[in-house]
Amino acid sequence: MDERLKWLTPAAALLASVPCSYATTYLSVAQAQQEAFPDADQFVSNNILFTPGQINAIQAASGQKVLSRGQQVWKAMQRGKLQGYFVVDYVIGKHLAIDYAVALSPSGEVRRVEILTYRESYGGEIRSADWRKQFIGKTARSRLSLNDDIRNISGATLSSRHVTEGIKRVLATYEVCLKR
Amino acid sequence: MSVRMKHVFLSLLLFTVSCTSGRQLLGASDSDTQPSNAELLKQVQALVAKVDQLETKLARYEKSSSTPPAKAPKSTESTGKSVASQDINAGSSTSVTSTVEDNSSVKTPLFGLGYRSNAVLSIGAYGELKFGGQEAPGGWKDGFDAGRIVLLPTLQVTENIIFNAEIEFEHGGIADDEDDKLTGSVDIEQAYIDFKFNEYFNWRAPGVDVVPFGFINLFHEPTQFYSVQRPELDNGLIPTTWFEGSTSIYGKIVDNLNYQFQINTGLEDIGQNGGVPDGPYEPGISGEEALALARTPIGDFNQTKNAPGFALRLSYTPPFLPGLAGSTSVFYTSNVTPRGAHADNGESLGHDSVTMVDTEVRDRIPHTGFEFRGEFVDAFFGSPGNLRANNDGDPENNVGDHMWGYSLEAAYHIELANFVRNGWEIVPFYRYTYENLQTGGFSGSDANLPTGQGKRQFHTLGVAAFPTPQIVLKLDYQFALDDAPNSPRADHFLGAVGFFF
Repeated sequence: MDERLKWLTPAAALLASVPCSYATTYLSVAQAQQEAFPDADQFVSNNILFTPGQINAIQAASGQKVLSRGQQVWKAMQRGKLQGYFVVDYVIGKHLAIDYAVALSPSGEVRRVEILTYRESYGGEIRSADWRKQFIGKTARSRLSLNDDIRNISGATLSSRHVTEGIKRVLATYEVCLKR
Repeated sequence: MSVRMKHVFLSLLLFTVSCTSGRQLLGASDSDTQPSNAELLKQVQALVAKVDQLETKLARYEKSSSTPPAKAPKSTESTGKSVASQDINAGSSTSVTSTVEDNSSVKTPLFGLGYRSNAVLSIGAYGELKFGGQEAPGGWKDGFDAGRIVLLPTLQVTENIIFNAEIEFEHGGIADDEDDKLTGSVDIEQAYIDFKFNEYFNWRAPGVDVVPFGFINLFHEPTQFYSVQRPELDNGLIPTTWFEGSTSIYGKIVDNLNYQFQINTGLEDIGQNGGVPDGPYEPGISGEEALALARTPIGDFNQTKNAPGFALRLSYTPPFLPGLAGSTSVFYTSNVTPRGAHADNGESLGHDSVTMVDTEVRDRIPHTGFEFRGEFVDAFFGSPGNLRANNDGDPENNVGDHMWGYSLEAAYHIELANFVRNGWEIVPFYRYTYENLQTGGFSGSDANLPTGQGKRQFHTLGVAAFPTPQIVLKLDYQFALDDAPNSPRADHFLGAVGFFF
């Protein structure tokens, strides 16, 4: 019996010392907004409810199906001047949703990608900054193709592919709905 | 009114009242029965409560629903504090606020029902269907195998708790009658609940899980490897699919370096059901099957020894080598010898430890179609003299003090998106595998006469075609060789259809 207790004690100590936070959400929307646009003083809600025409145009431009009724968008403003757009989107990894955000410049270039909530047990490697950095500068005209201009992470193939496809769709959404 | 009339009237009144009461007592649901004031009041109160509820719901919906962009800019709400000029002059830091609550922001009606991960059981699937020919005594044996169909139920129970399972039907299933000709199996390969604490620490509660060792044992869906059969090293040296009763902790150590530490039921040196009998029994570890028969059972507390197994896997994607991913794994159990284990001569067999190490890499060279994979695995036995295979009277299946192997694979990804409308990817590949299951260091009561069959080489050459990333069509030829005289191993020429949703 003592033999087994010897194994249980460190395990119990480890569990007791762990802070219980909301594990799957890594960044709130507000935190991600601040990281993407540190100079912005105001985020103005600019949500889009897609018209059927917009859905068709986005699907044609990105090659991805549009599964939502709209898109959550904020305009990042600094003293009334547009700094860029902050778009929140989700894709399915293997079976569960990955919430992520794309910060765009006013001309539709990716400034930053943040993974807000990652729920699955595997594939979380896409949260690494090195992987997300690859999207900076991409536009709707970029290839955004896995193993081409975007590195895959084997062992996280599904997450890598679906987030890449999602960002492609978000860029198409900018072209169709937000571009001035 | 005369007295008589009064009597008649009263009688009629009494009669009417008694009839009504009688009906009520008998529980008659007469549509003419009037509800009492108390009942009416109750109904009105219920209606008021319902209206309140609906009003609250409507207000919440209106608050969180989108504002069409066509409206005047003033109407797009900004409840955040805007920095007025006097604040700037006061030197306060620019305040940045979001207009929407964190939790509710991603659950708006915009995303629709498809988004709701919570409380929706999703069932994925993967499977492999194989056909072709294999060398056999007297010629080639052609055939078909409904290799496996696997269901993958997943449920996000709460924000922090996830349920995962793998239910596998192999080789077409099982049947009781002798003339049913079904020789497959139904397995629970995974069934566990994950508790997610933070990115550095998560707990997989005791359940059935794959042992974190190597790559294919964890990522064994048919779209993850290019050959028809799973890589040769995973057919025995690593007993894929190696799943055990287990519990783990896992997470990130630093960026690009993850860990999983598992405690499991370990391996056992018996290759048959029902525990060690009085007479002869099959070894779990041998120079013929390697560790393929050494997995412990997951049912009915049927494991034959107490010592647990421990596995630690570190996986890495070094940023200075873009496109490279790999892992290093260690497994250890202090004893694999089952209770009551004995040699053929009746002597009991003592404890024996097993230590296994594995390193594997997968490199997809960026901006090219080239992919390379390599793997090395080594399994050490603490006291090989206590292994059943070295004491079962069979001189040809003995094991030395370790068994090891390695493989090297090259593949090339051909994108057909420029030529074919629904972009296919075709991947020709070649893999070389070497295994030595019968090294030196033998000890035990058997005569030691290995035939050389334990020193094996495999050349596997083939092509995998992906019409979509979820579906794969495979064809490969395998040359199999070993050092045994007059008995080259069976070559095969096989095809497969695989899917993973």
